[in-house]
Amino acid sequence: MASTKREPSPVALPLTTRPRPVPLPPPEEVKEKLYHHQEAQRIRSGQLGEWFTTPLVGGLWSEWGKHAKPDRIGMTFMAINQVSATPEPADDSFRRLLHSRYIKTHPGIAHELEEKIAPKYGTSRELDRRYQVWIDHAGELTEEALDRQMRPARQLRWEEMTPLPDDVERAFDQFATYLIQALYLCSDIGGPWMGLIHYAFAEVKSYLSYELFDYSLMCGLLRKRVMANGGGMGVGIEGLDGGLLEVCNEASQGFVGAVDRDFNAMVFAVDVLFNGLLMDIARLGQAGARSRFDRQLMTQLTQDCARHVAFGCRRISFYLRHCPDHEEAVVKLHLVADRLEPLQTENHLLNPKVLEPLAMLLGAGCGGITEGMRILREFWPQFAANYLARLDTIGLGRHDRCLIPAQPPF
Amino acid sequence: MANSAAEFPSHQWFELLAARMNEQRAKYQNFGFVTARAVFRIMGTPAGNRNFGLVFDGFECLEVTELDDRAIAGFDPDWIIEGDYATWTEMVSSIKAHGEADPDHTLNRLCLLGHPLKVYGDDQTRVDIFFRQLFSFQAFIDEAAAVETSFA
Repeated sequence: MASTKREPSPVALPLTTRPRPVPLPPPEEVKEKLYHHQEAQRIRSGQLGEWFTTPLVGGLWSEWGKHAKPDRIGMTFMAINQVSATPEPADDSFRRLLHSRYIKTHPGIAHELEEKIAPKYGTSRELDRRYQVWIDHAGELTEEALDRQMRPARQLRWEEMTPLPDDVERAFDQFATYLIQALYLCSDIGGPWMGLIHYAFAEVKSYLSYELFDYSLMCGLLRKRVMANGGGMGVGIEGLDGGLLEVCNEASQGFVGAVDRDFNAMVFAVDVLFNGLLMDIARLGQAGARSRFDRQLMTQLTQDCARHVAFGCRRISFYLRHCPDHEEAVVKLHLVADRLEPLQTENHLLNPKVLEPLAMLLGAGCGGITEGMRILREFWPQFAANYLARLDTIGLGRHDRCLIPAQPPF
Repeated sequence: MANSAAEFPSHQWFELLAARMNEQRAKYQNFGFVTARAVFRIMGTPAGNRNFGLVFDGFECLEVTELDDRAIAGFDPDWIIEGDYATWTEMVSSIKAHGEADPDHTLNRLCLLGHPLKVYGDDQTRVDIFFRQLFSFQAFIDEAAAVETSFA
């Protein structure tokens, strides 16, 4: 039986009380009230609402008469932004919870009320500043995320799955089990941020939802693959997060209270660093895949992780170029990296439940594990080198302080 | 699609791959759109080093240009894939023999350790485009299976 003892939360959470339910009025009273509601009366009178009576030009309506044309890819964000008056969000805050950069604010709402309903820390849509959220070429990366999602029904042929020798199947299944854990971790960390991002940044909101979809889709596919080829789920990995959860819990402040939250610490940790390592590992997995089917899965994972890294790099780059205090932002991101790099190396890159099955796949079986380890040793310098090269590009060079060993410690 | 023959490496050979890509929009739509400026660099051919700059956009390869070494930077590639002539010919022959790259001759496998092929560029975030759109680039080079290739 599970213990009833409650563990103290690692984050200081304010006390909460459950409000007492308000007694509901009797059904007749509710029906009567709805019947006399001013909107119900207006509908009965046959009048159309403000959406139809407002002038198409100069009123509340926005951008009447636009004819976006599909571009070389289709009807993309880039195509509609070609004709939109607001292809990019403005560099100021947005006042309405449900207001996007595409919709005008209602002049009938007093400024006082606007302030009341504006995004605030501790409420939804609190990330309402361009420097906090936006990326260069947001539409294009978002379309790529949508366009390059795997269509399992069209792109995977389960009937072509190849039976593998037991040792190779076991290695792949352990590798897949590790990946599933890693991808769910990213999904769980990133998910709660979605609702905090203002609708003005529609492309970024869409992108993030596609990234979450990538994680879930791949987790499902890997589990199906494991369960369909004579193997089974492997051994769980303790501590795989390697500091990610702690850093991201601090960044989100437990999503409670009117406090600053650091979206960019989470993006750096999950998209730039963790997905960067996953991308390298997916490439190794692709090279070690013994069947065409498994190779397809690993190629998809490589593409997904590379795109997540691209988002992370663009976000951090934009943030560092536009945030109000560049020096402080750089210091904070370096501190995140200082904490994560050694823990990721120890708990992730050097984890035998990750390395050994990968080496076995690269060596084509138990007998080839020595050769597989040799390949891993030769590949190792790329973990730090690729990561550092990206950081150079985004303006966060840390060659002098990176704690991922440049050479393999095994 | 018409049968095709060309010598590797040559402008014509890459043009044939491009033509095959451009004729199969539905196939490449399945992978997702491509936006890349790429250089394929074949070192030590009987005619010396050969460089081919390719522009991918949407679901097509729009441009194939042979470049001399000094023109590569001006082409502004996102990524360059480079290897010696023997490696390229082995890869192309293997694709022809198997209908597509076998496990030992995928672009990713050959580039994994930085040899026998390597992928590089001035900006790692642009080099990453190679990995973001890997299905398309692998499918593009796999079109070699349908080209009657002779070697210099």
